[in-house]
Amino acid sequence: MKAKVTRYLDERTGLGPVIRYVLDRRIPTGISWLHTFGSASLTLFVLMVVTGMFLALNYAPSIGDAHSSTAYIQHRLPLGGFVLGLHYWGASAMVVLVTVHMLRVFLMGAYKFPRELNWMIGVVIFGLVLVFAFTGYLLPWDNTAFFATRVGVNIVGSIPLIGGAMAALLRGGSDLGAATLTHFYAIHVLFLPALVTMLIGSHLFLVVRNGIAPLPTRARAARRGRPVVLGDGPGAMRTPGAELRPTDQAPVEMGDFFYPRHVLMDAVISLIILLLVAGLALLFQVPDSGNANPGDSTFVPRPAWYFLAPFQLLKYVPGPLEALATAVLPVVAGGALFLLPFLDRRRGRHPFDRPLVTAIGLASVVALVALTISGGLSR
Amino acid sequence: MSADQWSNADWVQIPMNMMRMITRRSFMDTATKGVSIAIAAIIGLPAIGLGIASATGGAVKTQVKVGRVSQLGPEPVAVPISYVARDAWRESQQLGVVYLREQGGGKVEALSARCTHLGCTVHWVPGENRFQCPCHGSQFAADGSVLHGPAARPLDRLPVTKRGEDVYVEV
Repeated sequence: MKAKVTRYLDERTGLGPVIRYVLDRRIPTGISWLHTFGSASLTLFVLMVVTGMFLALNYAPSIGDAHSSTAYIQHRLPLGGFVLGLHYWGASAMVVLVTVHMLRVFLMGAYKFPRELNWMIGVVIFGLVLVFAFTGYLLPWDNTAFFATRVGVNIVGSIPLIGGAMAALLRGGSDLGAATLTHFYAIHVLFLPALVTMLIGSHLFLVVRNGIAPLPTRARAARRGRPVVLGDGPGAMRTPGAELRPTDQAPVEMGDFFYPRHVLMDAVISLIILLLVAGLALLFQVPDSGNANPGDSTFVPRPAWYFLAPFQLLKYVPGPLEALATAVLPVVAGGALFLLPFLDRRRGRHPFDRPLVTAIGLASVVALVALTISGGLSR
Repeated sequence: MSADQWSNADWVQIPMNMMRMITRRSFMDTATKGVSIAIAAIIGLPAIGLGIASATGGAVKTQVKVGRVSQLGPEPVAVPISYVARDAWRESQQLGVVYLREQGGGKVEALSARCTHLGCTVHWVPGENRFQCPCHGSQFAADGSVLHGPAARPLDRLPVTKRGEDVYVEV
């Protein structure tokens, strides 16, 4: 019966060979648990889409109803508080996982030829995840959401020349209000999912097309005067006499099949992360600071933890130089991240073979973590 | 595969290794499917459950004062009602109509004016002693029972509470 159905579908769709190509491809040796964060991010994306769709059944994106409909989901509907919690904690998990995934690719130098485009797509997805988080944060329309978003949009507004127009466009006017909520809602549930879905599709296509990058190997032999191979694939560079080692060759020629061993690893990590998110959702209620009241002069706005770093940075930057922190730094850092494959053009993929890039990357991570922690500790 | 490869002395080991690989592979295959089902369950079940549970939300029943027993007689009268109802996450002004009659001995009966066929509002025809639905011609007796289809079910009876002379209907 199963064979019949498979045959029926295969004759009409031709998907069989495609699925076999994706699952039965060989991946380089040594590809293991560190290579599961991308697929775990994908699992979380599915979680966010599914929980988001069902939350939207009972959420009203209007300033009179947003807070009360969120409370209705959380307190009146069976499972509402749990599904809201999955979406809320899932957002944090998503930011963490996408960051860890990017860090892994960075450290293993997997953004180099032939995977430069996929790195850039990944950086754009990372940026859009942050926009997802920023726009979603406003939707419950409680005081935290309202005031943190007002600050966030004003940071955008402080960018010289174009900031004012960007902020007005984001808000749908000159201050946070009814149009801001519908703007954020539409961006969160219509624009971003469509955009990110297409980008994820391209990202996955290129992963299969170019193969998973082999583990980087140290070009240690060079110092001993032995022949050296750097990089992998057709672009690998070698000194005369060097032969391609197994890990430097094209992925098709080595290692285990993608299915089932690596798929099982992917699934196990995804499951563990989902269980963590579900545990957080069960243990901690999604905080609610009350219906947004713009007249409240005592409320202390706090951004979500993943935006604490820029929030904290602004405390250290003197007023006249603020544009440095709000405009120059994000553009330079974001641009450098996006263009990383073209800034670091050397063949060596091992982190120790490109010490400057590795050091700058790790220093940035340390700075972000430090700012986040000091932001979290300060009142 | 050429013949000289098969003449290799190691050839007996090949089936053994393959068997081991197949067992290992089929184990991982099953495990992958199991874990995938668990993932789908965690993602899907709470969300779908919420979707189904939201059928229990919406408007909340409320008691509306509709008049006094002494104002009622054996013939149904249409009583317009206006009340504030909790509808899901908001309170809203609702308008409606119920039919009331006194069945003797101070016993009051309240009928919904909504036709049990497809929900049109029925009206009382005093001369012919029946309710008439304007949409598809259903007819009901004064006690709500069906006189003529297509409606298959009598008019809905609404719970009535009396506090002294005052009559309340749950809508």
